[in-house]
Amino acid sequence: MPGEVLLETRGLTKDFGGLRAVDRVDLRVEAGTIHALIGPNGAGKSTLFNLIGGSLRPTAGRIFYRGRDITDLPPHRRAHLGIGRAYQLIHVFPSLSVLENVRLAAQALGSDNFCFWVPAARLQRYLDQAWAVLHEIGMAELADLPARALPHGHRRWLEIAMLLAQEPQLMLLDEPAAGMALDQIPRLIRLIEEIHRRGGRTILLIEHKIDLAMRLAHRVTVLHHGRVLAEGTPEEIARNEAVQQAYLGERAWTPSSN
Amino acid sequence: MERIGIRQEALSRGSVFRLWIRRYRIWLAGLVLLIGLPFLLSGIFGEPVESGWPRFLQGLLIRVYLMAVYALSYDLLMGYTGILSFGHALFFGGGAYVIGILLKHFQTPLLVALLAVILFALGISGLVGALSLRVRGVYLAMVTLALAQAAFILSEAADFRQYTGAEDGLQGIPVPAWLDPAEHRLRFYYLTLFFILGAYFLARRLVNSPTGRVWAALRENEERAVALGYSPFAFRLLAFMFSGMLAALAGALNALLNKNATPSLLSVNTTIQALLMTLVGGVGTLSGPMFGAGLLELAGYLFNRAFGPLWFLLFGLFYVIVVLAFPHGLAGAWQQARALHRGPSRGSAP
Ligand SMILES: Nc1ncnc2c1ncn2[C@@H]1O[C@H](COP(=O)(O)OP(=O)(O)O)[C@@H](O)[C@H]1O
Ligand SMILES: [Mg+2]
Repeated sequence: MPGEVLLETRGLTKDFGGLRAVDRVDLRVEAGTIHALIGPNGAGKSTLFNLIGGSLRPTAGRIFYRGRDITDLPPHRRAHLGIGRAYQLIHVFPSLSVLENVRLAAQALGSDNFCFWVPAARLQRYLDQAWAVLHEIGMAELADLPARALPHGHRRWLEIAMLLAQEPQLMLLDEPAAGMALDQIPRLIRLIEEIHRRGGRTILLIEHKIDLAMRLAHRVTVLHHGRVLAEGTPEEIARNEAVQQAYLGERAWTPSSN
Repeated sequence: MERIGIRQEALSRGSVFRLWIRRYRIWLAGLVLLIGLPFLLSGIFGEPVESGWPRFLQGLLIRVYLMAVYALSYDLLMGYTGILSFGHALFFGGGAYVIGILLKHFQTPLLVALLAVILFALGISGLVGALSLRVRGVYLAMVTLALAQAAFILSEAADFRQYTGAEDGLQGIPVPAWLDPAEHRLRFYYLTLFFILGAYFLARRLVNSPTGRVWAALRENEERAVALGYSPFAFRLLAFMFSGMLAALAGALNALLNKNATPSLLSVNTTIQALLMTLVGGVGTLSGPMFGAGLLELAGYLFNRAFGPLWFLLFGLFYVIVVLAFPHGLAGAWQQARALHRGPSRGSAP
């Protein structure tokens, strides 16, 4: 799928004190692709997401979105450009209801945020959007629960629901399968493929479970000690010896293992 | 999110109205009580409504209403938006001084002066917000405290004695005769009752609006709210401005009631009062802090009468007991009691 480069980082670097978490990363994500970012724990994947999302400022390097330099843009402006994310650790509004969490995601990109004289319940559009998403992922029955009371297996889905309510052009998914029951994972895969197909969305996916990443992704970038170790199609990455080497340190991995 | 249910469409207008009455019956009964209270008191004490005990108690209630709006305004910031400000006295005292100076030294018509209080409040709270919202948490508390203290010092400064009365405060504010609380206390009572109702409905409307929902989101998880696309500064600034406006109006009416404005209105004590009323009443409930204001004002008065100079110590003790007994404030205790009453199957959703 050749096409426009949606997201590009050039020499992106982040230091935490003496630790270089992200080291001169050049990443190119093409529009309309599912691009996986894999690598062992502590490789700097989540930090890279924080840099792209804007919650962290890079030590060096630039970030481009649709050719525009967004390095100095605050995170809320990036959301309006179409960059949305789901977090690795559950990161929602705990005492608000599930419905309200999703509704707030939908409202954020609309133009009614400062209509302080209208009850939010009367802005049907955002409510409809929220209900549609909750029905799509099968959480409609839980809509009235406060997010903090959500059964553990559903928390991850709320993260994803909030992302879906925004339908951003570029979706950053940080380990969406983490903490998810095994029998839920096929559903997750179907959902990601469905989102991708439906709107030609671009998905940048961090996945610790490599087989999952390999199944979904068109392109794979391997991060190791903050550096890009390899980049290519899933087949190329599977054959790459340096990658095998890096993963051997942590656990044996073969493409066929589950 | 309130959803009455799917059956709603099938209901006729009349039954919707009955449902509405049922739902708010406690509030409606309370409203009727407050409207009739001066006459009820007059009957109880067997005195005319404009003199003696009824008149005195109206004064106490007026004070309660004004402090209730002041507490409400603080809850908008602390309870709903999650901003711990230590400079709230600046708005309350500021409103008192602005209306006092305008009425006394510039003979401004009352309505114009009230309008000026609103404009002043929007300006000053916008400024305080703009300066303090660059930082978070304790640092924000410190910045707001510093700004309020600056106003306190300014109010005591001898340089402006001509306008502010310096440490003696602004005395003898001329209140238009038709509203003079000494002459027409009943009118003033209804004015403040109208004020408290208006303030409450405005605040309710705000917190249920898209903007108010974002305040809650920012309170709950700022990083997430920002990642969704909400600019924290703009929303919090608005919260500051609404809160400042309500506090300043309460302060202005308080100045009309007492016909004075003193530096103590701008002191840390005044801010602490807002904090205490909010904590006692129940953070983030709007009505809770209003009842907290009522409880503390009335208890303060009774303690003062009963114990003389020692009252402050005993009042502190009373406060500690209330907070220990009701860790979630009066509103929390009320919700718990109702949940018990309804049986264990229904939890109280926040
Ligand atoms: N806020 C932070 N402060 C200090 N060190 C951090 C911070 N965030 C991440 N790190 C460190 O940066 C490295 C990369 O972390 P992370 O990006 O979370 O890795 P990954 O998501 O690939 O597992 C780790 O060594 C981690 O301890
Ligand atoms: Mg991570």
